[in-house]
Amino acid sequence: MCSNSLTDYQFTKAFKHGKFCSVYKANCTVNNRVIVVKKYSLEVEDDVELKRLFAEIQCCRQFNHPNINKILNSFIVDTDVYVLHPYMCFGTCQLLLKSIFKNGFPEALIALIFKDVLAALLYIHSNDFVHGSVRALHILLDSNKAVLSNFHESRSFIKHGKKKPVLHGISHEKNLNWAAPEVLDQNVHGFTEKSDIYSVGITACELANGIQPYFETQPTLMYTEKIRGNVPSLLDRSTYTMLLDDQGKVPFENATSRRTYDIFSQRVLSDDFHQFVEICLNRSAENRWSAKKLMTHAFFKQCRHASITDHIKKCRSDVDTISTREDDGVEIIAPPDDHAQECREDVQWNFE
Amino acid sequence: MTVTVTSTHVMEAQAKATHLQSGGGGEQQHGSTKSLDVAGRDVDLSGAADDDMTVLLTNKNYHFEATSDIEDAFVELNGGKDAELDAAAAPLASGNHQIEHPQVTWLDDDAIDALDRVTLDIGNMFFNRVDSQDIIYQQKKKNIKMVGKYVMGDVLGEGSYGKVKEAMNSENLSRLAVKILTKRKLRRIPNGEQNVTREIHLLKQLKHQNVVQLVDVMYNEEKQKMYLVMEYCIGGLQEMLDHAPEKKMPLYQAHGYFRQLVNGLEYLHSCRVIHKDIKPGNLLLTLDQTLKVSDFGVAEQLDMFAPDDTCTTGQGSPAFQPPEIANGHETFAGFKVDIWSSGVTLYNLVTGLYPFEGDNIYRLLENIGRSQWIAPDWLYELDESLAKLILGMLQADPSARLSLQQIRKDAWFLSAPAETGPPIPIPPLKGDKYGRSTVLPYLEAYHYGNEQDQEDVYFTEHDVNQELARRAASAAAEIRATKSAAANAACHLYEPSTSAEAGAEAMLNGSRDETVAIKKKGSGLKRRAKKLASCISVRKLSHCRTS
Repeated sequence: MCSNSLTDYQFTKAFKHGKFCSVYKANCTVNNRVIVVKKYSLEVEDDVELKRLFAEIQCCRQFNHPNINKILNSFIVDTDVYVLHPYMCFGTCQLLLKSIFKNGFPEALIALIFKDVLAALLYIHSNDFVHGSVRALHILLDSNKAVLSNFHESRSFIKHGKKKPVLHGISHEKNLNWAAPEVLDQNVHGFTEKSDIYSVGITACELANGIQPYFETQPTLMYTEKIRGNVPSLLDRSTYTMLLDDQGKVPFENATSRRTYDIFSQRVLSDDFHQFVEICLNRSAENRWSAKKLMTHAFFKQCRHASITDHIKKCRSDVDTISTREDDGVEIIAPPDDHAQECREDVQWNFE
Repeated sequence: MTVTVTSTHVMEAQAKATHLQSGGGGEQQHGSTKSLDVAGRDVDLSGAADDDMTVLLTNKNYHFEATSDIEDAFVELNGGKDAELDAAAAPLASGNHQIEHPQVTWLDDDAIDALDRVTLDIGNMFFNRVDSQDIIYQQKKKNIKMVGKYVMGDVLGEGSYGKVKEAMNSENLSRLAVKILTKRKLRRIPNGEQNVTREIHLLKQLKHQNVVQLVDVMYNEEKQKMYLVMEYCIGGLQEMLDHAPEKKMPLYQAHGYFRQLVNGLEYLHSCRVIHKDIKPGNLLLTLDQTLKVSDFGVAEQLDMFAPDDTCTTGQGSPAFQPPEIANGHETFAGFKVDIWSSGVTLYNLVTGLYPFEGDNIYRLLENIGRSQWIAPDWLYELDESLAKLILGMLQADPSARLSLQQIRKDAWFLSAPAETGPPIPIPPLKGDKYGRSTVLPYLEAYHYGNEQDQEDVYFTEHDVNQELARRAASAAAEIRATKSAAANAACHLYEPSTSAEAGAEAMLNGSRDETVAIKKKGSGLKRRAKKLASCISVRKLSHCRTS
């Protein structure tokens, strides 16, 4: 158990400074454990953010699962809320996409990650919760496991002692690209925990393609596309042609995009992976598989005899520049297009 | 199905038609080959099609019942068009020998109005039978309209002040309702502008789960319009009652809403706000059945330093007014007004009746003001504690009337009535039981406009029937698909969703053209060859018309 006193923590590095939230790496001097400390300011004009933070802490503290990012402790000192998390050495998946896996994660690593994420979702769902915001940014990687974090969109079917059959209401997330069609539709039928499975499918595309689906698409177009049942897909030799424009030409001007295109047109992703994504992105929530069933999918066969560390280390050796960047982590983790919304995200970054 | 159209329009259209149809004359039953143009008339085709279709044209098999002398009169009246009619008469006389492509002139609304003015003078209204298969419908064009960042949808309701439309925030895609107020209409309502200003001022302060939330206010000086953007509600209690078979709801359902009403009222009173117009019509429901107190048009906020809740004006609905207002007292206790109205509302929800009635508003107010209401025996038999609660809320003497605190401690309020049968549903808007966003068709027209233009925009009754048949078939296909999917899932063989399913899904949108598009897509493209959204060429939203 971590103490409530700030003097027990030795702040070793600042990952990020924000108006509302700052993130530090720290050493707990009591048990000599490396932790991440998030500091939120209580002095904000709008208390909506704070209310959501409290709801998140409350929700997260009910969970106890190896694949869910734990809150070790949370306390208030002066006008700041301190929330302590265990330290995850590889940071978020989105961070890895920006630094190492610019053209997407290797398939085997994705399988490893989703095996853990689905285990977490299975646990959440069986406790009548919906995560509501599964995306690469909210998946953290350690040397031997992936954990799900950021429960600020999390909702429970149980309210005032009653279990509701469906949930209603759109999420507060600014970026709705991961949201399931039934969430966006906001109709009488509402949505269920299957909406998380849809987000898993979108996240799979994000991890494999190196870019989030519907990137820079108007929200309204993304909405109509999803309602129509059109879905993004994994880009490999069988599907890269969809990147071509109407005349069958490569639409990319610059060299990097061209190189990405070449990589996509040559790589092959397994049929199991394609099928896995397709199941997740089924338009009708009833036909989507549950987390439990998805864990038995053939896609996860490749998880045997492999670990997350091996994959990342292998790739990291290819990218030498990373090590030089390690020290100015603040810059890496605050990409210019990030909004205030995303200042609360986990930003751990270190390669020992 | 046969549709009757007033013949005046048919006649004028006839005059306007430049060519007369001659092809296929052998089929003509009455020997006369006429091309008619019945444009711009909304004809109610219950169940056959969406209500936002326009009857465009009847072109053959026209049962001609008009007597010839009327036709003559028409010709005389339209002297200027004689030449045209003469020309038209020529092929009539000579039969079918002329080979010409059938061609019609489409009338726009202005042209029809102009013709109306000419022919209304005749004072000669007669009816014409038009066979339903001759009517051609046109899907109303859904032109996207934006107000600020909000995409406007269909009209949800209309009041004396203006319309209420559905809208969608184009950034976070949340569904909203927009109350559109026009200055012109507001001036006609007594205290109209004053009430609106007060309502906006009030709503801006209020934030509670059971009070409707004002999201945004926009003004358009040029159009003299004001837009109140509110959170979206799927329906109101009044509509639910209207659609219920006995105009009432089960006790447990009313209990749930009443509890929320008390919560909302408690908040309002704590903000010194007296609603003054509590009634089922002003209690709305969101998608998750959360009750929202709405319409603060006649609400009043007490002064911060007011010693008590004394009010002087009451403008609420007569049937829900307490005796002190019905009797025209100079001053009265404000909070107790809302208690009375809530009592009447509760009584109305569970019985479908009103405690006081009257042939006209004067009789009604007289009845309310005359004497203490006595709960009928059958109400005691229905639920004794409920009868006592309503009686407590309908005390003629405001000081004897229950307070919100007392209601909270009431036996019925604290009880949990047993669930007896299903709750009465929220009536579907425009027959859409899913309660989907009405903004969607506008967005689709905007984003996929080019695709749809090529599809046939005009269709006939026959097409509609075919469509209905196809709908049934695809529904059946969906059931089959679900079954087989379940079977497949059981043996670990997963098949991607079939085109039939995609089609069925699209049917729900009610858009015919789009279904065709999806079906083509579903069958034409292979599993992995679906087009990425980000690859579709997109027109920017900023180009679209803002108002």
